[in-house]
Amino acid sequence: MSTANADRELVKRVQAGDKQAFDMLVLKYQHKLVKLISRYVHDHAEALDVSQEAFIKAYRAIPNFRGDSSFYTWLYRIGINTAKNHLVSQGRRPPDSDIDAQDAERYDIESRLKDQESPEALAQRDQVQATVISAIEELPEDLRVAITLREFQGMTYEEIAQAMECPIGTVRSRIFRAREAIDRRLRPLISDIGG
Amino acid sequence: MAMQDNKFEPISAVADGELDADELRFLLRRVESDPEAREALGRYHAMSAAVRHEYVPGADSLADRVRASIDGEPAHTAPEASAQAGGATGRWLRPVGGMAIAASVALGVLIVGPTLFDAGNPAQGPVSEPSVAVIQGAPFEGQLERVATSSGGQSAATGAVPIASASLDAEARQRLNAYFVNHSEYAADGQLGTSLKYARIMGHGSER
Repeated sequence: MSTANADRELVKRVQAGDKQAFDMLVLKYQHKLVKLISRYVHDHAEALDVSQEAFIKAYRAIPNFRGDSSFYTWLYRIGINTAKNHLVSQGRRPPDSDIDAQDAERYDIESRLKDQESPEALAQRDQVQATVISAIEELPEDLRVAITLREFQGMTYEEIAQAMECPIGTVRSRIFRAREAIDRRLRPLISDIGG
Repeated sequence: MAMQDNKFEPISAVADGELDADELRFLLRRVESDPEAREALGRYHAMSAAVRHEYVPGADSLADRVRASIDGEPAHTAPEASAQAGGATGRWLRPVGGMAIAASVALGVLIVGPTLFDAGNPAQGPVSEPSVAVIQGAPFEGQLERVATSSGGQSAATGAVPIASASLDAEARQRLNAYFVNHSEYAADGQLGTSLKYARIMGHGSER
């Protein structure tokens, strides 16, 4: 199942009344959405509030989501509109420069709008990123290759199984073990950050 | 012990969108009742975000906040979901309805059309002035050659029909007449509808 299909399945469940399925979508996209909204709303606490509002709007509107675009593209538009409306309501002018919803999934948006994170947040982000990369580098080769193909190349389990010439179940197990190893390094750090 | 070690393997798989619908349903219930499983899922997504330069410190708390807010919201009900399915049915029904309307119009044209346009049939008598007025929609003077139709091979033209004179001066009538004759081909595709695609307006006398 591709990520898009998995999202579609979760959306169907939310539309049928399953709130837990929406929680799964929030867990998946919370960082991405906050990152996006932070381009418009520079105060961190305020960006979190606006992101929360965007998710709630998405939840209320989800019965009307018909799957013409991916879930994230749809959420992206809600996020941008919520951020802009927030700025207007505060008497601030939204930036002219927008990123196309389709492009947002392909390009690194860092290059398009200036990053406004505080030095402390930047340091924490870099520390988390360095910890994850370092943990991946220390993995045994079979785990490292599996997690790299998944996280950096975005390959499905089936594609990884073909590339590594092993069963899909083995891929699933290797990726899980890789994550567990990374998690052991990451968990104390995230707790310190207060994430 | 091995079972215990692998207990979050489905959580890792769901983070990658790699569970089928039945596994997903089971896992949703598990995540709902097992805070540890939900936290693990949050961290797995945080790892992915870090690798993709999307990690935002503190954003992990957002899911808890959203969940608390949504707890106060009504759950979307099955009828709403089935309305989506109904929408899909509606998408099927819409063209069928359209075809039914088109068929009704076509039937109407078949029944009424010959009465209006088949002036060549002696049983119908000569083309009356109102019929021509419908086709032309404009003042017209002089001898109008019959409107030919292609239906049923009954298009044989016979003679010209005298038309009542309108109260326009000769130059204006001539210009209007020339205009309608020269642009008659557009009339069928415009407001007069498709049945008149088979009608041809012919000028009178020396105009055309």
